[in-house]
Amino acid sequence: MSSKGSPPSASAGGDQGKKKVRIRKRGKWVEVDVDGEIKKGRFRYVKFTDDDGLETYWLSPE
Amino acid sequence: MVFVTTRKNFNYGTATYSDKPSTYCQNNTSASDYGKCYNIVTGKAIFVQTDTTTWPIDSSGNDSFPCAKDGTCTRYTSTTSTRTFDTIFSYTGKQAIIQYFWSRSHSTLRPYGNILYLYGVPVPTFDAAYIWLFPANNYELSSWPVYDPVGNWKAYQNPYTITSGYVNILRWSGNLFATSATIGVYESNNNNIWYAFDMEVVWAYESSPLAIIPLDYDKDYAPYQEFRNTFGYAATGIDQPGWNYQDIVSVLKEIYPNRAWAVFDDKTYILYLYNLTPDYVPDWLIEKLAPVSMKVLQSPSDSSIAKAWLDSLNARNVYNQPPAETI
Repeated sequence: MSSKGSPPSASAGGDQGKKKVRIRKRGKWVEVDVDGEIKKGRFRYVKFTDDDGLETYWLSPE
Repeated sequence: MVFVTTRKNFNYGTATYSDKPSTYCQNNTSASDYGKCYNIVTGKAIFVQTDTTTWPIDSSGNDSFPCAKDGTCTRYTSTTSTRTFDTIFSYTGKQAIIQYFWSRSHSTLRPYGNILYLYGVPVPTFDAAYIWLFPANNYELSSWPVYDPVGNWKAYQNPYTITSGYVNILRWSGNLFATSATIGVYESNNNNIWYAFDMEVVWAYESSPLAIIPLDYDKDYAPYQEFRNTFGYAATGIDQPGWNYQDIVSVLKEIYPNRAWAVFDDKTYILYLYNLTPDYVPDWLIEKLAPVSMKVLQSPSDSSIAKAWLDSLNARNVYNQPPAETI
């Protein structure tokens, strides 16, 4: 995770070369560095490491 | 969502378990025992008496009104239209269904409404903030003897012997959806009144969260039983309508440290995976739960554990799987 905000800026921070995606988490827009993407059924999830250190898959905002 | 049913009793002077409570109070101001309450079974009766000149309450809260003084009633010094007592349940983001209630009141008041109403009941024909659940205002207005209106247990209910006032029994069963329910008594701004009541309410509520684990996998029945007992106990706990996901995760880690399982938190819509990755979560389960997020608590050290979970889950839910595609 690189930053929090509403909405966050779309550039600074984070690992170089990683795709950044904004997700809505607990009512706030959060920008995350995406490690990958998976599709499950009708849903698409982006993969990243969350603040709690867990490997996390979040519903893709698109 | 999975629903579980629970029940709770409320006792204000009388008690649901008592088949012949004879609770009453004296509100005749000419009587020598004015303000006294008798035959309290459980809890306290209610007495409304606003005269704090004759019966003052001192700065320490000591009430001089007879029944308040001897602890048999709760005295209120102001009148009100509807007095609200307990919250039967109040869920945030959770649905409940009232399935049954039985209530009985002893009162100096002529029964008008009843002692239970609901907030937020989505009955389209009512636009009021609340509705009286019960039917006619004077439903089962007492004339001796009083019967249970449905059961009509004459022999059982006959022995009421209160010396003054009314007994009102209501029994209802059905389905009413609500997120919260409160006990309220319609007093109609009366002063110098008393009442006592008891009530049993049965309702179902959404269970949360959801543990997703094929329990009898590999015929491992001992932990299965332990698991069932643990959760069975939780489900009947009035004050814990649902565990949070951490509770279930903790229990599962304890009981099944080497097995794959998932926990779905239906408050946050997060699916927690243990010894699993999303690769092993079947699409039909994702379609069913529609999780906003999946979190891997622990990656599978051995893919056969995760595979066993998936196979077992699929075997139990064949109807949830899409039909085979033609190649």
